[in-house]
Amino acid sequence: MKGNLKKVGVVIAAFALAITSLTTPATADATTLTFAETQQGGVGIKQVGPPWFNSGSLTQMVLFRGLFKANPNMTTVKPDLASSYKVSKDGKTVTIKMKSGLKWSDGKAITVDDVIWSINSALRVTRINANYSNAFKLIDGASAVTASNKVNMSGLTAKGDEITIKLGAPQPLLIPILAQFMILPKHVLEDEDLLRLDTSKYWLNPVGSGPFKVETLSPDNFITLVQNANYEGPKAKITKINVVASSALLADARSGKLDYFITQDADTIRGMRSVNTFKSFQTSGAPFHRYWVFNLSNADNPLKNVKAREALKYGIDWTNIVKAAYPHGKVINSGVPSGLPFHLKSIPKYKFNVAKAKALLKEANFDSSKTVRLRHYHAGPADLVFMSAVAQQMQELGMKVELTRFVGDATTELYTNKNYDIALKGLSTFDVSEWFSEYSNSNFDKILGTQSKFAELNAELATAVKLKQRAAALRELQELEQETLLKLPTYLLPAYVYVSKRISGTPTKYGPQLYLYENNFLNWVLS
Amino acid sequence: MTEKVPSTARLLVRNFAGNLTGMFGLLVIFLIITSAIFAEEISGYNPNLMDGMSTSLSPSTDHLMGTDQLGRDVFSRVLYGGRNSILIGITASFLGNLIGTVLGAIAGYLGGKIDTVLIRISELFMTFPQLVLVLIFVTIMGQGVNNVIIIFALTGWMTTLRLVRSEFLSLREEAFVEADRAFGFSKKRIIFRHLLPNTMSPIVVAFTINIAIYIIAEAGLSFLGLGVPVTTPTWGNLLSAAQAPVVVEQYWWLWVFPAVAIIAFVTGVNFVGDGLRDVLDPRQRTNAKNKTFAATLREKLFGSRKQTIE
Amino acid sequence: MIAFIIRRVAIMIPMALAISAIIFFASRLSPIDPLNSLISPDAAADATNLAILKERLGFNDPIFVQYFNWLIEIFRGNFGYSIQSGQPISEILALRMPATLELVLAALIISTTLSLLIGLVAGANRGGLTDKFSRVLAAIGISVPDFFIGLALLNIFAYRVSLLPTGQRISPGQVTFIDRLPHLILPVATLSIAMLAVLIRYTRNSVLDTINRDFVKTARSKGLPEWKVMWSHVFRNSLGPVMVLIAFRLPLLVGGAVLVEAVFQWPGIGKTIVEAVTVSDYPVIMVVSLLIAVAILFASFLVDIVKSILDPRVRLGATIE
Repeated sequence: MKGNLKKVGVVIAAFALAITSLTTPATADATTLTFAETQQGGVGIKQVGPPWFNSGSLTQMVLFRGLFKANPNMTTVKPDLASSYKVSKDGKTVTIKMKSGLKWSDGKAITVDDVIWSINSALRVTRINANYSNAFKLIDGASAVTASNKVNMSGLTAKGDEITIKLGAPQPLLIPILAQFMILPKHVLEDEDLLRLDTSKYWLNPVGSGPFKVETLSPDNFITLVQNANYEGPKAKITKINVVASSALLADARSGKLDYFITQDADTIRGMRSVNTFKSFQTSGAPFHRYWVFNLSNADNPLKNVKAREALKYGIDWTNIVKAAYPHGKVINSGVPSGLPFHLKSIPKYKFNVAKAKALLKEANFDSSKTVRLRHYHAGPADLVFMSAVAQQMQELGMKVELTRFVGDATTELYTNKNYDIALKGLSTFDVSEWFSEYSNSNFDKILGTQSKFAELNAELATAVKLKQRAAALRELQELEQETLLKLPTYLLPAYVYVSKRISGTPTKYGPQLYLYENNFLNWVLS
Repeated sequence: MTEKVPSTARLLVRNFAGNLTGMFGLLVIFLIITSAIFAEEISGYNPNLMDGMSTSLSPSTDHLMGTDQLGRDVFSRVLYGGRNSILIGITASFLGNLIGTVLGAIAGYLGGKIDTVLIRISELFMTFPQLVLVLIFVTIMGQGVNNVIIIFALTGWMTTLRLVRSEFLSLREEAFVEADRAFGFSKKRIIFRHLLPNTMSPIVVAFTINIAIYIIAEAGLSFLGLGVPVTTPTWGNLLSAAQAPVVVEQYWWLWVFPAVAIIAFVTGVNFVGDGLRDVLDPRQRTNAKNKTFAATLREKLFGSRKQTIE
Repeated sequence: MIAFIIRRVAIMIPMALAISAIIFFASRLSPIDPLNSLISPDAAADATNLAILKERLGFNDPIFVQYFNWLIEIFRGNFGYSIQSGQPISEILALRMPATLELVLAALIISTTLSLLIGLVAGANRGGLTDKFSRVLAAIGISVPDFFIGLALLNIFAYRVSLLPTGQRISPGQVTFIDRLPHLILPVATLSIAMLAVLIRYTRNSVLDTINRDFVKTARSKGLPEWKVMWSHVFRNSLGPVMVLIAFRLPLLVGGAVLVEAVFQWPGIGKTIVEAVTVSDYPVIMVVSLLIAVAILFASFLVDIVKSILDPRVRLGATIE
């Protein structure tokens, strides 16, 4: 008996010894940067993320390039694969000149054919960011391109190293969007099934054009990137990038396991305030909206009356709830948040006022016997805090509230199953027009009904070339938004970039989370 | 004066009172349930009252278990959450047992094809990893207190079915049932009036143990974010705050206290269950030897398999 | 014996088929359109080509046709594709199975060894210190949710003292098994503790049962030294039932430990299931559940065979129980 206990003791001691000997902390390497991938929840790395849907990851920034590169403010661009561009006076013809002598990471030349193939293929894949497809659909002959044919658009041609794009109408956003659109190698991908491009084996070791290339990819575990010898520009000071998944950003950052990451997570942002080995930056540009959408296709929706929706603006203490759940969030009352250009000053501030809310509900003949079905699909801990607090205040207003998370995928739930009255939705808008175009797109038609007035104004906004036209369209759209309250803007959720202090040469301004921009990476130096 | 013969119930109570761990478990359960019922009186706070001035406070004399991000008192939420968790556990266990008992009675009494089919179905359900089964049901039915209860009941009736069935199989051949049949009593009457009361012991034990299992299952499901809606505080929902590593590290009181409540209650229930088994079913050990080995084992296992919800 | 095996197999096949049908139809009952998960509502996305893909993947066929196509493909070894990631499911399994295997096998070995050790000592010295300790451990062990143990360990060893990794399985630069051992420690410890509780209880009772048997008394009366009695009579004879219990745990090797894997972001089968369920990735859910069910059927088949060798009554009794 005693002997046994002793044996157990020896085993435990040996085990403890083994642990300590194995876990000598990895010493920070002076040329290797460790980046925590936080997209897709940061729960695993299966492949390099295809950049045509969501981009903005450091991995995508160093592996791929577009014709242009956006500055962190996202409005101006500088040449990248292209050397220059020219827009005709009527705004309907764009000519782009490519740099010569550029090479893919496999040594083959980057040519105009790659650009033409990429733009055509963007209309053939299943998963595409609507920014690209909407912009490319305006090119002449784009309607002839379908997933099942090989026809190319007639308005996109090349001669030598010059590409000509012909548009049906002026498209002021084309160049900024092309700065986001990563050109992919035709010679590697032309035989791929484009409908399933984002799951191709290509993403395990992509041939790219950026300063880095994949060294090893251990699916679910990590990716290591090394310098691409075929990159024509100056060599980066950093020689290797470890892309890892972290399930505890704060703890890993504090213990020096990470050098760089970007997050929207409220708890991490709160916790990082006490970590003094990191610099933090709030991202600029392309705001991430969170807002409520109402399912008005449900005739029984207790919030059918606009006054009842207005009551929600007054009857919920948005300021304090947002502050408690998301310390970095900002309450908004318009699709054009205050502080941004074109924000309409006449929009009410909606100060928390329960009495007013109750009066509005009365005015709306609110039926408190009906249950308001409140749904959400963002289900981080902070989101749960936010939603349960809101639900409770709605109950205090005398509403019956049933709050659950959408089970399964949000898109079906939102537009097909429609078993809700209010849903919390998010949208990252590259341009404010995206926010308003939702009111009249085919998905929202299914829950709001046809909104022809919004459609008209949206068309005006899309083709507004002059600043004055744009301002006018945005003013009318905001007025209409306040009048109808079909979407209830609630808050903006900015992302934060965290950069270890052992890196120097980093910028002081960072672009939005889901977009690509110049971050001066080649000049970053580790110590 | 003739000596009073103590009734069976009284005997049982006396026996149980002599069972130390059982009594301890009962005391724990009693304390937790009572304080859950008087949640607001005991904690002095409304569990839903948000106080913007005192958010994320660590435990103090004002707030025994601290406050959460919205300034709600954690102690009152733990007590209040207990109400829902225990209710879910009891209801689901009751319903699951009801299904199991009815089907078990039918299978055990009628035997033959019906028995084979029912046993096969129960095996089918058992072969399924319970949590996976629950997850699929959640996808199909959606979230909600009632749905969770129904899902638990639908995925947890098999043990009872087997217990009741095997009791029936052995009771069926006994003299008093033969007599009933000779009297020409209906099957329904024989099953519900005569046989079932004699199988109450294992049912009661299974009912008790299942409460513990469901409370742990609810916690696991809520931790994955697929359980009861967050507006209904349950121990599992409170515990799911620990999904955020930062909460785990810096706001320990948000997840440790609900977990302690779960552990205390479940331990109590398990103690009572064991005690009841000892008191109600002294035959069990000897009985077990008559069954095939694999059968006893499977019973034990599938009971215990769920306990650790893998 | 052969007849018995044939009979068991004959039962197993229709059961496996029935399970496959239940899995298939249950997952299609859900009103959710899995392909839509390709389009995130957070990013303005274009769904023009989704319908074409849907048609090509056979989602528009009648449901029975879909079921039989699915079954035929499974027999051909083609498990289909994950809707969410588009990877072939066989590839996902090949990637994640080793992770689960590693985790569960390690936990099984550790918990079995420890439980045998503690159970034996506890059973042999009934009422002794180890016995009391093991009973308390078992009682508490079954009352503590396993993910709570995991969270507590993470908090102590990974968050507060950064001694061990906060999750995941392999870090860059870790090549050999020894390199990545630190990742394994906490999840294995969590799972082992969770398994230990049940196992100890069982081993202890099994040892107690054996000790009271006649042959042990005979051995003692023959004057054999106590350690020899314990080793060659008690231990060996109480090992059988414990082994059967462990055989029943083997399906975990396939099914993974859902909650433990979730806590440690362990890229195993359990995590695959949770990921699949949260986005309604049916093909994955179906194949994984089918696999687990078949594994469990197989394990119970093995147990029955072993028992029938040891105990002929089982063979004659035909039906179990």
